[in-house]
Amino acid sequence: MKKIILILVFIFLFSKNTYADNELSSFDVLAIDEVSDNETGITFSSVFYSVIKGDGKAVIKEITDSVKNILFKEIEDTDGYVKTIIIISLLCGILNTITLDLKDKSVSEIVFYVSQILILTIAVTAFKESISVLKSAIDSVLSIMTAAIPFMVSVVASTGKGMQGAVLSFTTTILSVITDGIIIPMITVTTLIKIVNLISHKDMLSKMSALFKDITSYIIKGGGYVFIFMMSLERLGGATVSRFVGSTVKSVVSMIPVVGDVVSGSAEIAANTAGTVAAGSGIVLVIILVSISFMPVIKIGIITAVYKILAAVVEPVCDKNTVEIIDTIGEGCKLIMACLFMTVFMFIVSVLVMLGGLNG
Amino acid sequence: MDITKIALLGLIGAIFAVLLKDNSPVFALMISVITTLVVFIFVMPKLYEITELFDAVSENVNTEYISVLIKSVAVAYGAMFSSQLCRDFGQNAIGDKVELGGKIIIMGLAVPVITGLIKSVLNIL
Repeated sequence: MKKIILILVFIFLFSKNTYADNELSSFDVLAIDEVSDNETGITFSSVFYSVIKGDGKAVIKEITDSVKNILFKEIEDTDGYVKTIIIISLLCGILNTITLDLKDKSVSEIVFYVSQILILTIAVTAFKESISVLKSAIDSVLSIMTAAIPFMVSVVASTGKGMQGAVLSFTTTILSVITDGIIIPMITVTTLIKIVNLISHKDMLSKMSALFKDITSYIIKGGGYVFIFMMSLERLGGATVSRFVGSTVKSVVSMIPVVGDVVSGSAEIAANTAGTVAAGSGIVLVIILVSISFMPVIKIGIITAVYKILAAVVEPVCDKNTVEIIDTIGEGCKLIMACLFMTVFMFIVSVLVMLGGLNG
Repeated sequence: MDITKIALLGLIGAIFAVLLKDNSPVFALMISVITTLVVFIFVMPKLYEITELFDAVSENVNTEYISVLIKSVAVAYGAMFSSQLCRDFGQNAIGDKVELGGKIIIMGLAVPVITGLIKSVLNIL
């Protein structure tokens, strides 16, 4: 009886009510709030509270508004290049047909050459725009990741799963290095070589451009394999390390005399509450990442489709080289889309794997 | 119809040139040159209509590009027309030089476009 009273007294003295939405205030979410608001118009903490409270309507409304804004703004920005290419291609087609009938072939060839250079200039400018879309999208994703990492790591660490946080941090660093330093320059060089090759009638640089394209594809695929390897490694060893860290904390807490068991229980409850926070914030992070990253993916997808359709539409009017130039821009955009999709997908999967690890 | 007028003009010019060729070759040559010039002047307003159409189509496009394109075609036609006339006069060497001049002028027109292309490529890299 005495023991029970003593336990009850300790419970009333040391117990504390904890709620998942209150727990968020104990983490520094200012940076992630600021970045997500700037990049997407979505506020991390407000979506977090909506997710925790199960207010699906508010989450959907916030995401729909953000998607609308991003999509319309970006499509409007690239509209001009597509119009220019369509009109110039058609005019070049008509003028080339006229000039090719000239008796003097050398003069008509020079006019043809000038029109090719015009198309090339516009195509290169349009491609530059696509590259800047890729860069800004990857910058957005990386800034969200960079802002989220300290928060996610601290949340994950509070649940006693330190290894997942470390893997997430490592994945982000690797992603940024590979994408910014290797993949973007490779895509640019590949497409430019292919475009420049089309100025000449002789096929001089096609092998080199094919080589660069293969290397870029292998790097993107290789990045995917490295990522899968990292995740497998984390699943094999990470859980054991995390379990070891978690159980050590609980053992040390249990060693405290008399109240050790109670406080150990509290530590477990606190860890579970933090787990809810981690799960909630992980979902919010995934929602934000999906909304900011898949918009550029969709946008570049639309641009790729537009160039491919354009190449098909102008084929009857224009010469082979003009069609090839437009098609090459479409191919470049396809590579950009693959790269962007891979980056976003890898980070989202790493967040999901981490959340899976928390539940396991 | 315009093509009927042009065709008739051409035929009459050709007949006169053939008739005068044996007795007065200089007049025959003059008639062929004048016929060519009249045909050219006759189609000039049509060319103007075509450039207007191009301007209307390219409202949303950078006009610098379109003007380079149209100027190049105009120079090509001018060079071809003049060199053919020179050849009609039996001056093949002058005709070749006119052609060369036309090519150089077209390349000169393309210089800003080529510079723009090089700048764009360097900007991306």
